[in-house]
Amino acid sequence: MSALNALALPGRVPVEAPRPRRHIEVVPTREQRRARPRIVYALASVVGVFGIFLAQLALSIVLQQGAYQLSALEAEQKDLDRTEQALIEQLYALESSQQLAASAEEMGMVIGPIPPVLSLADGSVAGTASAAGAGAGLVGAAGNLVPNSLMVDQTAVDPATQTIDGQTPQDPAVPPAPVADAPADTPVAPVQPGDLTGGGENPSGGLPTPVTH
Amino acid sequence: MTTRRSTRRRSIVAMVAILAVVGVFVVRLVDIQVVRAEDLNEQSTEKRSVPMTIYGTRGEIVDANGVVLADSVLRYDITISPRQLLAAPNNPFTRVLDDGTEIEITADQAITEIAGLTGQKAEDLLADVHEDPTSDYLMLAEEQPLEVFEAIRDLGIPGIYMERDPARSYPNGAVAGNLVGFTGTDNVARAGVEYHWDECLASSDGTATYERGLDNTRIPGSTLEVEDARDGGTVHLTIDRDLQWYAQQQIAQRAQEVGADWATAVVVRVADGALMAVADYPTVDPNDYSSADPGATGSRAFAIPYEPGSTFKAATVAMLLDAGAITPTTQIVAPGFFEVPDGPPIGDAWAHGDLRYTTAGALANSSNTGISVLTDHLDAQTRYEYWKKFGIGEQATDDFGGAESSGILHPAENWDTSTNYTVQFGQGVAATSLQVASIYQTLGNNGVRVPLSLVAGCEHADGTWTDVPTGEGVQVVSEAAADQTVQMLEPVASQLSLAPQLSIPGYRIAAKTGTAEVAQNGVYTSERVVSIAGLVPAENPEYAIVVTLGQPDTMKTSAAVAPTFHNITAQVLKTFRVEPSTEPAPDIPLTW
Repeated sequence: MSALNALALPGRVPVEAPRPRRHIEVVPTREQRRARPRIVYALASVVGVFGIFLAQLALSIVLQQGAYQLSALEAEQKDLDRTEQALIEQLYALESSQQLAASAEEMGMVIGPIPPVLSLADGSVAGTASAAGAGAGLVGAAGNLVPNSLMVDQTAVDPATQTIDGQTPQDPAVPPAPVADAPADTPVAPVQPGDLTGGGENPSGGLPTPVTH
Repeated sequence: MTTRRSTRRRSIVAMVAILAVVGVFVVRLVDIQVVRAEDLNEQSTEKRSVPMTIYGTRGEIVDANGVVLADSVLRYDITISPRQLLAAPNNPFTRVLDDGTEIEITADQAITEIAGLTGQKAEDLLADVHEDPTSDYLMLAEEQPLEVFEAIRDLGIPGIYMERDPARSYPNGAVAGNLVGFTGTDNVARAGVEYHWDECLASSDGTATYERGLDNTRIPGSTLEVEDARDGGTVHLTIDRDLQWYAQQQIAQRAQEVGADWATAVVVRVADGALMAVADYPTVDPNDYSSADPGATGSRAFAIPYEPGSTFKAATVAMLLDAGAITPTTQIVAPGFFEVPDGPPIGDAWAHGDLRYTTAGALANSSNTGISVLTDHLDAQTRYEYWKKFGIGEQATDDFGGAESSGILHPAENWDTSTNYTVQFGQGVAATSLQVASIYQTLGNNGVRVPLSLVAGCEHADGTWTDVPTGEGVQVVSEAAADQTVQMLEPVASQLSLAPQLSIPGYRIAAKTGTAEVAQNGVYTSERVVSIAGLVPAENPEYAIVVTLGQPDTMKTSAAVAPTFHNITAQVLKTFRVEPSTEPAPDIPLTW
């Protein structure tokens, strides 16, 4: 260090040029780094919110659709109720005394006499059995004298087959099917006429039961 | 300095302006959200939620077996807005057919289509529609059935509105039409059980209130307020529908054969006074009551008393027996004419001299003079009190309201010397068919009169029953007096002139004939009311039957009624499975 040196550099105070400040920061620990918010979380929450919105929208749409379905079903029920009521009305009219009498007359049915009565208690028969008169029609020549404006012209009887519409006529020649397949060799106790009381043990008028073995 | 001051002033002005505007909004906000909130909310709800009516149904009237005699049905009123139909763009409107083709329909074509469905005249409807083209409401057809409703709906005509119109239907027509009654076109009860039991039958409508969109669909989550509708109760009658029909058919046929003006038949179950059949001729079909004879829209058997004649003699004998004044074998002489002080002599239906009758003989042969001789055994006031106990002069049932007559029985002190006797054989006194039936119910029920019942009860919509008859009766005459009287009536159906027509093999029948003179303008005429009242089976009566023909033309004796009484009695025996009689009838001497 000489004077020259000192002259050469008059008044020059060696000043250090300001150096850029060094970037120093606290390095986050691994834990801190891990805890920092990441973009994926933001995205997830935004998507979540939208998802909720969409779900709510869908729910609302479904609910609305349900309301329409409900409304349509209610209308259908109303329609069916109406139809049922109209059919019941028709049925009642077909069941009326006048309609039944006319149908019976058309089938050639006649009024029976007073039937005899079989006493269950002692097997006796009271009254006399007699056949119905051929001309003892229900309505007769006078015709129906009890007006009913709901009567329909068409009766329930098909005049060709003399049967109720839609029913297949049963051939009276066909014997009825046996009720039970009892073995043919099973002995059945013969019931004597006048022995309907099941050994006279039924004085109270109950249903007599033949004694079987 | 100046610039800074002006800046400040400007910002103050701006602040004030902003505050003023905000203030206005705040005031408005408070006004809407707080002050008028309730009112406005209500208005908005009202726009979305209009109450819908839930309809209650008027109750049914059914017979003893539950057969429906009156039920509620739906009909539809078809209305139109001529303005909507006639103006563009609806005239003509486009209809899409099932195969997808489109056709143009004019308003007039549409109206003609409707007329074809309702059965009205197209020109009438067209004239109505064109009368006021600006009108928004015109009734085209009332009370149309469902088929018409559906057909017109499917036509898709603009401007058509269909309104629900509840109505009543009577499936059995005139069967019990006299009892069931009817409602008017306004569905208001007018007559019969419909009217007297309206309180039981009536329903009330409810409402459902909820918020709904333009197309009437409920907005999900909106509150639903429901006020339930109340259905009417069911009135159970004691009537048996089939027996009622048979009785009506029988009396109508006989009335037409003998030219009777009217006829009634009453069947009563003796044990509890239940009316099994109350037939009237002429009668009314409630479905079509407007075309019925106005005099026949009610029940004559309930409403119109007449002088019943000799069927009353049974009660006379029963009261004399009960009072101990006579016995069944009391021996009397029935003269050809019975002299009445200060009055015309009483005669019989047939000319005869002195007849030596027992009480039984006088009753079975229906001798007026014989009954008059017996009548002298008991004073008038006591006999009057017996008639009151038999229910003459008061309604026979509570079930038919004001449409039932009490008959006419004058107090004993008002009886003149003739009436003193004639009351005892059913002249000078008036009773309904029901009251006559009530007398025979009393005699058949060991002397106990049970008020007749037409209604077995009102079954409310919740299943509870009210107005069930108690079946309690009053002892009118002793059991012995009643039984003896019934036995004395058996010869009529087994020995005397009508026996061949009245008897039914295997059964003991008690019967009493009646041939009453009809007074017109205070004078007895040649017109007659003929009847037969009876009880089956006589040894232990189960049913009382009274058949009456009013003013027949060709046959003016009780023989006119005999075949009808026989048929109805046979039907009663069959319907209710009455067992044949097992013991022979007692042999009571008729003469001495």
